[in-house]
Amino acid sequence: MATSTTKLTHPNSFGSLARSSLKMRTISLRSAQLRTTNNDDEIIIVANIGDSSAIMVTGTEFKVLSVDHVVNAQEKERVERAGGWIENVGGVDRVNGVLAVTRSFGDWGIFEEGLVISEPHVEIIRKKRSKAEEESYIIVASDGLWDVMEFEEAKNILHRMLGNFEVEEFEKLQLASEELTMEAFVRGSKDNIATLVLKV
Amino acid sequence: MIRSFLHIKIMGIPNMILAIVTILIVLSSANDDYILLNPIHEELGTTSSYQNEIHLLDYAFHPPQFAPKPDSQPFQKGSHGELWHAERKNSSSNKSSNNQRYILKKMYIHDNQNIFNAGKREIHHGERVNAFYAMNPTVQRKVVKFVEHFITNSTTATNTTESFLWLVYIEHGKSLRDFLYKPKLMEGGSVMMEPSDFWVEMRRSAAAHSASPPTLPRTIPSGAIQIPHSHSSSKTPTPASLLMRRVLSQIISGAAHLEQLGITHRDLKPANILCRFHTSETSSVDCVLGDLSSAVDDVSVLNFYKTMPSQSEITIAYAPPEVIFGSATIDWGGYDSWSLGVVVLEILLGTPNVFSVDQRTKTIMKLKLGDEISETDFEKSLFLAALSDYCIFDGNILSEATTIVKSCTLSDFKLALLQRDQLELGFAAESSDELLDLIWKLLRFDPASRLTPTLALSHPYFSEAEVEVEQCTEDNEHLLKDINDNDNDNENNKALTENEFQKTPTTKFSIDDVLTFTCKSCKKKFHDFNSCKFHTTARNHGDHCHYGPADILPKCLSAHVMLPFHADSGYCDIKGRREKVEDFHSIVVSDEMSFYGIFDGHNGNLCSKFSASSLHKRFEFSDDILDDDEKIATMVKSAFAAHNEKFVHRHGFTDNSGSTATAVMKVSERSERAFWKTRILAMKCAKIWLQT
Repeated sequence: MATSTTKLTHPNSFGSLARSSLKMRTISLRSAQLRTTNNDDEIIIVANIGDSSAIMVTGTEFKVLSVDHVVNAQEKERVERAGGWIENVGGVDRVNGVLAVTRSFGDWGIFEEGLVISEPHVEIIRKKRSKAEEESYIIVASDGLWDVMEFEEAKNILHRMLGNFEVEEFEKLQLASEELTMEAFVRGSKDNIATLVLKV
Repeated sequence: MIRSFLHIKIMGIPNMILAIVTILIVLSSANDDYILLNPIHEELGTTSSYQNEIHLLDYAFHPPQFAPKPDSQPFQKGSHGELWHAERKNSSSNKSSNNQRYILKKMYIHDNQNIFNAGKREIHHGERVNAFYAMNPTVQRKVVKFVEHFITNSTTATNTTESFLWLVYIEHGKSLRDFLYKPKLMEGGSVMMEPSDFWVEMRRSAAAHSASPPTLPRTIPSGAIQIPHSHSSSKTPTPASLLMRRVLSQIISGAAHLEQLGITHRDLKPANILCRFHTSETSSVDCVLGDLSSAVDDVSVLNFYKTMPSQSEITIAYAPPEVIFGSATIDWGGYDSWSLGVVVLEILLGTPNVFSVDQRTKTIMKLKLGDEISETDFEKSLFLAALSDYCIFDGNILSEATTIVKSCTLSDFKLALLQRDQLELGFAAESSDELLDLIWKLLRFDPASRLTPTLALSHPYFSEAEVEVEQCTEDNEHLLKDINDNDNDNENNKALTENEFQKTPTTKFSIDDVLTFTCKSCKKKFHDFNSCKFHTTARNHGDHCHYGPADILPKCLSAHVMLPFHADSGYCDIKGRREKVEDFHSIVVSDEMSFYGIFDGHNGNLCSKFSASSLHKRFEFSDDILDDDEKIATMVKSAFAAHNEKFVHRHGFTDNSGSTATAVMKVSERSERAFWKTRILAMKCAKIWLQT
């Protein structure tokens, strides 16, 4: 079994009364959850429009699961075929000189039909749960994070947090998401930053 | 022995005609006769003899004599009692109680111990409240004044004796309920309540005032009352919103006074709030709390309830969740705060069913849950569903059964309100953000974190303006204008909105000026990230720089609320260096699938919020597509298209915002249990949580 399933107890570091009583209450609920996750295959579907990228980290590797819908050769051609144009405004290539993403929800009334579309890039991953495969993690974040951080760096920060034995298991992913967010902030990101980390 | 003779005129109220009937009651004013009764609450707490009604029976030796005129009628009559309007005959009674009108509450105590107990509670609490105001003469009375009680007996035709407990109150206007609603005769003779003209005018004039030059509102049904009208510019807070503020501050003051006395009202609702409008140029309003028959304090909880205070004395619609979900031991703290929140919401929305859910959700829930749970449990589910609509029901309680966890901001709450806005006027006119924040803080799911009435009074919503408004008369209209102008200076409000609602890290200095980066190996310090990184890379000093000080870093706006229940994910977002939050997320865990989404909005945040709250609903993972990647991809694409259409259809014409979307869905190949089942689980969890 993977070592990460070992429960670490550090009563002093995270022994706040509120938290432990919270845990007590949920013992029965947790076991209920365990029952429902059986050995069936699991399907992970990642779908995206726009530039909030997602990566999957497995061991020391990472894989990009999303496709950024910003102005690139392919999207430029699609936009122009639909009757739009690309213009660089403020250092960024934009659809009709306005929007930096080429696919999105909403934006109604700004563009002609079919210019900015909401058809997602879809990535499907099948995982055999029974085989005790190595655990994978997915990081999804808004461009506020990716503007200032390489995928590789995000992976390293995640690893650093996962390897931190001073925090309880259940908090690791939360702390990883916080760490990623703060790191992006101190690096000077100019945008909102939203980071989601999950285990698959 | 001095006795004063009092006339009581009894007025039949339903038709608003003052049918004047004279009855005579003999009441004594501060003399020996009262000695038996005055200390009633002291005796009650210490002895059980009261339970035998000794004192009250003693009183029966000198019952007030009175005889209603044959035609007179109570203005309200129920199976347990009647309400009468009355007036004292002014003859020998002292002071200037000229035309003071009274309410007489007649309770049928002969065959119902519960009713008698309710009466005792009213006496007990009424006298405590009187003592409070007597000791604090500068405090304006915001709880109805209890005057007197007596018992009468009569013998019926069948020779049984009937006993009546009469409670005398100072008359204090109509109930707020009468101001908010009017009866509407439906086909088939049933009567429905609909918003009154007064309410509609109040909302309309508020809205109109904020948008365009004010229109003089019509008078309201009772004739004499006009909606206050100010002559100041259209940008000032509307008179209607001032009126609202005054009403609320008075109601909450009343609750705060009770709070100071250790009394929990337990039945705060518009029907128990009595208001009187003084008509003048700048008309003013005076509201008090009434009906302390369901209240509890240390004494009444032990002596005047048959066993325990129960749901039979209260109104479910105004009861907090811990009562609805049947928590065994209730600490009464937070009870009244919740009810106040509901009342405020009700005044805004003009409906007594503020926690209604739309018919579609109801039908779906009925279909999915109907045969599995009882009617009362179903009602509770609906209640929970409504609470989560309002973002009141937070995921903390739900554990992994949470159906939806989204970034709850005040805007979500507002959105829920807008969907229930009958007149579709919006709430901009009511200086809404502060007001909504107040409501939101009163309506916390966790009783302990609700704003107490006393604290609620110092909420920003009541700041500045209210103090002056209290003294606002014709003479100082200029003052009102000044306040209005002040209020109009929206800078402060804006700052508050940002701080309170978006939990912005407030930093007077630029964070970048104070941030320090430290090389972990050699402890060298840098003032920007890049220098430090350059250093660590060049010297091979490890792969990251420690930064701080930690306390100046922003906090996550909405960290993962499901911890520790759902340890498989983590979430954090910050506003960063932007003015507004446009990033939203959703984490939805059901037995069918786990959904995680990040939505980065542009041109506003409506689209990203809308997507965070509903994109996950568009996916249908039926078993027959799960084997085929193509089919899954097709379904996902059409779900995205459908979602976009939904947003454009709903908001496209008024909103230009857009959003990116990155969704991660985890689906087990065999999913048997339905999404809606989680709602039951959620309810059970709430129960567990409340009972521990």
